This record gives sequence, C-alpha cells and structure tokens, in this order.
Amino acid sequence: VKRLFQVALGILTAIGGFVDIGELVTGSAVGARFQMRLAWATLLALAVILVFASMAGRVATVSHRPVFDLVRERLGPRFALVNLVASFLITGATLAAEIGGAALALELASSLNYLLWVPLVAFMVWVVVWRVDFEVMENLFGLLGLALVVAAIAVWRLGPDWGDVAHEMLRPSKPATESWPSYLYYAVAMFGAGVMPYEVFFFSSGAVEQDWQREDLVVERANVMVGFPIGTVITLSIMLSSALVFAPQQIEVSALYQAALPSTLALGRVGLAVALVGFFACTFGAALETALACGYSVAQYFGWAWGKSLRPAQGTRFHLTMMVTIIAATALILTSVDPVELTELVVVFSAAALPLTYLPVLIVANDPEYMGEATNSRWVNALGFGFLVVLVAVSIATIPLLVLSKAGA
Amino acid sequence: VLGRRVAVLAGLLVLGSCAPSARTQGPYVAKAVTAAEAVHDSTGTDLLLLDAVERGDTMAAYLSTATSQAEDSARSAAGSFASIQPPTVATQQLREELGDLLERAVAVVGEVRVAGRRGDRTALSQLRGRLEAVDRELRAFGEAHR
Repeated sequence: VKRLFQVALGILTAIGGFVDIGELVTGSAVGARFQMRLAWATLLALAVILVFASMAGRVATVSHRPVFDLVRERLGPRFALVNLVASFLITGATLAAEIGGAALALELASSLNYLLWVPLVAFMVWVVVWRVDFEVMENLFGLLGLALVVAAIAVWRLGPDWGDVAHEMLRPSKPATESWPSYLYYAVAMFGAGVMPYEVFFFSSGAVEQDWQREDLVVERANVMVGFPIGTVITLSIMLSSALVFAPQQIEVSALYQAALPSTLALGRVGLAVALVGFFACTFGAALETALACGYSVAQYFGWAWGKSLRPAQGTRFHLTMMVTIIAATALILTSVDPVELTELVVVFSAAALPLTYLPVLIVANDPEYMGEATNSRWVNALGFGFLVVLVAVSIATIPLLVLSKAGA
Repeated sequence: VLGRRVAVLAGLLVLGSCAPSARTQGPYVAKAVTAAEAVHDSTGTDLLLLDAVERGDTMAAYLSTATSQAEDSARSAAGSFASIQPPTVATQQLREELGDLLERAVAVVGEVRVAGRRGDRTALSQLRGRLEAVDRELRAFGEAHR
C-alpha cells in the first residue's frame, strides 16, 4: 500500500490527464466508430508523455524548481508570456469542462440536472485546493479514479476476439465508411487528450510540492512509468468496451451516459455504480489538477509564493488566482455550454499549442547548468526531438483537420 | 467603402445562417441520412438500456437520466432536419417519408423516457417491439440512401 501511495501523484496526473470528461466520451465515441483502429494515437501519446513527463519531473526534482519557473528564466519573459497565456486559457477552459463533467456524473447518479450540481462541484474543488493536504488529495482522488479499471473488467466480461483486437491495433486502417479528415481528426483528438499541457505543469509542480530530492528520482520514474500506463490501459479499455457494445449496432456515442453502458451491460448494477464513481473521481481529479495548474503557471511566471503546502495567507495571490479561475470556469459552464463539446474543442486547440509547452521542457532538461549530471542522455534527446517533430506536425495539422472534417462530423 | 462591404458581407452571413439550406438533392439526402442515423443512435441506445433493465442491471436515477437524454438528442436531430427546406420535388417526398419516421421514433423514445422516469419495467418491456421496429426502419433508411 505504501508503494501504491508513493506513485499516487503519477496516478492522479494520469487519471486526471488521460481520462477526463473529454476522454471518457471521445474514447467511447472513437471505439464505437473506429473500433481499435485509433489505439495507435493513444499509444503514441503514452510514449510522448512518458518521455516529457519524466523530463519535467526530473527537472523539478533536480532543480527544485518547476518547469514554468525555469522557462521564464531560460527563454525570457516574452516567450514565457505567450506560453502562459495559451496554456492558461486552455487549462481554464478545461477546468470549466471538468467541473461540468463531474456535475454530469452526479446527474447520472441522482437524475438532478447537472447545472444544479455545478456550483456545488466548483465549491468542492475550491475547498480541496484551499484546505486539503496535497498528499491526501493525490492519494484520495488518484486511487478513487482507479475505479475506472471497471472498464477493463467489463472488456474481459464482454469477451472480445483478441485476434481481431490485436489486428486492429497493430495494423491500423481507416474504415471504408469514414473520410481521411475524420479519421485523422479523431487521431489528433485522442493524441491531444493524452498530452494536455496541464499534465506537465501539474506533475512537475507536484514534484516540488512533495519536495522530491535527487534520491527520489526512482520514485519520480516509478510515478511516470506506473501512472501513465494505467491511464492508457483505462483509455484503451473504454475504447474497446464501446467498440464491443456500440459498433455492432452502428450506434455513435456522444454523451456520458452512453459511456457507462458497457460496464452496466457487462457487470450489472455494481459495474454501473463503480463506473459512476470512476467518472466522478477522474473528472473531479482533473478539475483539481487544472485548477492547481492555473494557479501554478501564473504564480510561477510572476514569481509569487505558490504551493498547496503554503498557508493561504502566505500564498495569497496563488490562492486568489485559483479562486478567480474557478469562479470564471463555473460561470462559463453555467451558460449551459456542453462540457463534452467544450473539452473536445479544448483538446484540439491544445494540440495546436503543444510545442509551446514541450519545447521548453526539452531545452531546460538538456541544459547542464540546471541539470548537472541529470542532463538528458543522448537517447532521451533523440526521443525528445523525434517526438517534438510529431508535436509540431500535429499542431500544424490540427486546425485544417478541424475545418475539413467539420469537427469530426 | 470598406465598411459598407463588411456590412454587406456580414448581412449575407447572417441571412445565410437563418435557415439551414441544401441547394441540391445530394446535400439534402446526406442531411436526411445524418438525421436518421442520429435518431437511430437514440433508439439503439434505448434498446441497450432495455436489455439492462430486463436483467435488473440499472439504477433508477441512471435510467431516468439516460432515457431523458436519449429523447433530447432524438428530438434535436429530428427538429434540425425538419428545419431544412427540400430543394426539389423528389426531396419533398423524401422529407415526408423521413419526417413521418422520425416523428414515430421520437414518440416511442418519448414514451421510453416516461416509463424510464417512472421506473415502470413492464411498460418498458412492452415498448421494446415498437422501438425495435422503428430502429430497424431508421437503419434501413440510412443504408438505402447512403
């Protein structure tokens, strides 16, 4: 149990980052529409986030300073400001979507309209970021999010033909009924959802919050190597369970209630109840992650005192930033904008801005002045640069694909 | 001059967005297929929900919300299609054919919602036949016109 708690930061980051409201619905939609033919996009995202989260965590552990702090110092305030504005807007909009997502999960469990739950969820987010200890938060919501493993159990109960699954995953191809722009648009959506910038901000700042030292590099690596693969397994299970239930009936998935059906059909009431707990935990966890990421990025850019371990009186501006962001996000979601559509849009725009986040991480992790002996090795650099080329290609292709595919219609 | 051009362009955009249009037969038929498939998503999901209900596998709150949201999306898809003007006589017939089908589908999905909200399993079971029939017709329509 102690070892599980040691990797709770990685699990919370991955569950909240990989599996949020957009992923729950988009993963199900992709499974129903493309079966496992787009699993490669999620696996590619896993490879990229493993390399870059590991770098960001190492930078934070060695320098005791999070990525955003170093970006400003290393690349100058102008570049860092562009980075800050882009990532803050994207993360703030994601926070709105996650608050809406947690409210939607509560609606499924209560049948009360989700808009009635929104203020309560927002208040709970604020209480947790204001009062609850960082370790308690990551242990509670990271581990609660593991309830989504129910999707993997549902897959096992639904009994897929593993030969077909392996064929679709290893030999990806576009279904004849789909256009190339739609296929690639959803590939970008699945990829972008796995490498959202706030995952890096949250993970590296969390490492500083937990006061990881050089000797904790093993723990840091374990967090990355355990947390993100778990997030990926859950995402692929959601995709596959949806492929097994909806694809044979040619039903498209566009709402959260549909994402709970495979677990219900495979495991009955218990499956449904656990899935709903998992939906709430992962969306609420993502809301916490994004609220904190907004506070971290602004405070680190302006050099304010920051951290959940600080008493609110000591980190006034950090806490105030989060409070204002939570209020703005709540106001946005109360306009009745669809949380699912909002996240899908945010994921696509975040894909367009990916190099802004990941290039500085690579530059700082490669600087011996900051990193000393922990500077990137040659093969990590090779992987990092290779993936950066992928990120740039994705960012260039995103908006044209959005237009050409009519947002995946 | 530039201001006037911008105003004219903005006016045209506003006018163009007032009523959904399909100026030729092809796009109209494509929109009809999209509407049939969207409503089928609701009827098909309701059928899966009925499977779970018959096995006693759902919870009242979930069933109520799920059937309600399925009806909302079916209604929205049918409403969007109804607002598109058919460009030719042939598409007028298609509109009447699909319009009738969508109306029946939305009615059944609405009844499923009412029974789902009441948690009335008997009524839900009795609706299965009608739901299956309308779901089959929607799929057949999509396949015939795709």
